[in-house]
Amino acid sequence: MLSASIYVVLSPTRRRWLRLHATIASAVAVGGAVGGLLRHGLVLAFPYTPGQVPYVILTINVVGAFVLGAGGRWLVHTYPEHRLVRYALTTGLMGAFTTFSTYALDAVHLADAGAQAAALGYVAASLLVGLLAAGLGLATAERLLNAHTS
Amino acid sequence: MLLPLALACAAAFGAVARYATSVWMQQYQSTSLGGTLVANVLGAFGAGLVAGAALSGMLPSGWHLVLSTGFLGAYTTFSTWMVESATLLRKGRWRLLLGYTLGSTLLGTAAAALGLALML
Repeated sequence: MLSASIYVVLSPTRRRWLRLHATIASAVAVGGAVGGLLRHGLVLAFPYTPGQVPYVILTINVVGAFVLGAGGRWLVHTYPEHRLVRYALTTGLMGAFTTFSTYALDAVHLADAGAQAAALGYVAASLLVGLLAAGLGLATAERLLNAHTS
Repeated sequence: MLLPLALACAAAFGAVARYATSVWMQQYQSTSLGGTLVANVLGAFGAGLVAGAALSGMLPSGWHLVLSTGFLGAYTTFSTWMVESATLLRKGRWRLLLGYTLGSTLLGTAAAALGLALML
């Protein structure tokens, strides 16, 4: 009731803005739910305790960086009109599948447990391998797209 | 059955909150970097708070899982951060790349440590 009455007093431009972002947000929500569940399932399958190197999170983050780089670039070029599918798969699915909060917290837990070298190694490995994976993903998508057009 | 459902809902809200953060931040700057940075640092602080509350016995383990793995895990993102960084790398914007990757990590771990310390 309240949201309906707020909507009624909005100007047409504001209404369009609200409708656009609400539509995108629902696509992001669907992808986000699936991404969060997938990550949770993988952590259940490969559990670790705070103070251990979280290889499962490292793998999730690196794989997600590659998939987002390759898939995001490929989707934008191949299906530019399917904006909602793109938002669901990129911002939603891959965004929620990978995580920064757990990465930062696990690094702190490692350092707190006295494993400073492991904490530094975990951070460095995440950054370097993640960057490499994202770059490879972007390059892979470009190769696929070039092969398609030539 | 209830826990995975709650976790999925929390992850959906987390992802939408990240989208809202990026839309909000894009009023102030043209790139997507600021939105990702704000979401990641805020999310890391939240993860520290939640972990600290759980360790002190203030938060049941189910809530810990739903808030930390579900909401904050989905609110923050590693993949977008890395794809943005790889794009900076390919453009040869070295100083911004270094500042963005190391800055996010330093601010993120400091925020997580602060959140943890506040609750312990």
